[in-house]
Amino acid sequence: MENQTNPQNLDPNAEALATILPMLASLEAELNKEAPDIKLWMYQLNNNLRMFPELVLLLKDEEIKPYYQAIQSQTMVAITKPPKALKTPKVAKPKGAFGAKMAGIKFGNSAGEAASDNGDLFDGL
Amino acid sequence: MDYRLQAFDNAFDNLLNNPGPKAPIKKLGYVYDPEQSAYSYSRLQTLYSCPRKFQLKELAQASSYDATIHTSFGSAFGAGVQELWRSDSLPRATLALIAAWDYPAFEDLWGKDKHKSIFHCIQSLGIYHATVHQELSLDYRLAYLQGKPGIEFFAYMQIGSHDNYQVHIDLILETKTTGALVVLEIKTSGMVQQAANWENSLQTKGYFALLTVVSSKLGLPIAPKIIYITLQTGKLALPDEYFGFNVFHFAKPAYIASDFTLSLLQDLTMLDIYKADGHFPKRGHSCVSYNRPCEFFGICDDIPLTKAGNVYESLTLDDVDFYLTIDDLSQCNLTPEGATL
Repeated sequence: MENQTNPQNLDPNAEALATILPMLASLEAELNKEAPDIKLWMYQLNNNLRMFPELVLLLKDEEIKPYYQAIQSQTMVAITKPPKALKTPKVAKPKGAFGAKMAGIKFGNSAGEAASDNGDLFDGL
Repeated sequence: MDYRLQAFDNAFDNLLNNPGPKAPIKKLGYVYDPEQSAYSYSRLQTLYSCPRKFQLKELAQASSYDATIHTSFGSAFGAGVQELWRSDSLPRATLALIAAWDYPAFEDLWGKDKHKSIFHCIQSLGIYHATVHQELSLDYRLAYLQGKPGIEFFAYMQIGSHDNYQVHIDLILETKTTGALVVLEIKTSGMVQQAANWENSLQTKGYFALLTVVSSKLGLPIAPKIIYITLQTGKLALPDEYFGFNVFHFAKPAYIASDFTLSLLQDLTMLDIYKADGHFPKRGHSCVSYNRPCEFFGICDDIPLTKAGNVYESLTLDDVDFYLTIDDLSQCNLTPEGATL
């Protein structure tokens, strides 16, 4: 008798479906917005599915379709985040006079005259 | 955005949108009987790493279970793969993945592991479906044992009157040509995966032993191999490295079932010695694992050994898909020459 007055008692899965089906409608509305917040919606989906994991089996293919499309779009956004700015790789520089020579640095004298590049870097210093 | 701000953003999002209590987080379930000691592959792994940790974590259950981004990624990806074998529907499998995600945020709250977000998990499932799954589906399909799909197959093996060994198998498949049973195991890790990780593990041997008895009792043929699908995270953009996927086929000779039984009995004998001596030795080399100190490091001598609780989800024998005794293994007449059970 009680079952006849409370439809949920007829089907133990009714509560799960009653929870998630309105989400479908809200998702459709969300997707029509200019910048849908799918991630926020996914948190709600995660919460509902954890409470009612049987929904994975209960939902029909056509009901799952909008969920899946939204999840895929959010996944692509999350996976393809803009890469960080490239850093110039650091190259270890040889130190000392030899390093300076290798780097093509010419030492000038006190008068600002460039040292001759004859192999003796310290000429004129 | 700085990863800390992103983490806070995620945490607030989650708190904002999940005001109600979530399903309780517990480890994979076991049949709990206070009169019996329950063992499994993962519990024995703890024993091998450190008997003292085993005493605290498994016998006294002096630890709690919190989902990490690593456990969440693994269980969610596994749930997705299982659903793919059942329905061959990627959208439905993606829902199963989301249903199994039990980490409180979709990305690592600490910003450390950037390759184990729920989005990487979904993307990995899509790649698995397009590659590995298509290949394996040519030869295999999901097996149904006594009318039940071979998903998260739960077997219970009674050992004597005080011990039992419990096994959760990710998937049992069958070959399309002969209907021979095959176990499929799913692993995810940030580390490089190779055959040596799994080929001789107690888990692999145990699966084969169990499958041997299942086939014997149900009158079904078996393909003498265990398939491991491994996913190394962080390789999603590397097709040359198969996006991080590896598939290992481990063929096993029949006597491996006996090898497993002997190994298990020897482990239990060693445990009896620890219990009788009242001394579970500490293994100092296990005080650090994956650069993290053991949860009991520095306090393992101070924790009371009275049982703190049952951190595992309690199941009953009614939840068991297949019940066997250790004698069933010996009756399969698989003993190698020279070995006795």
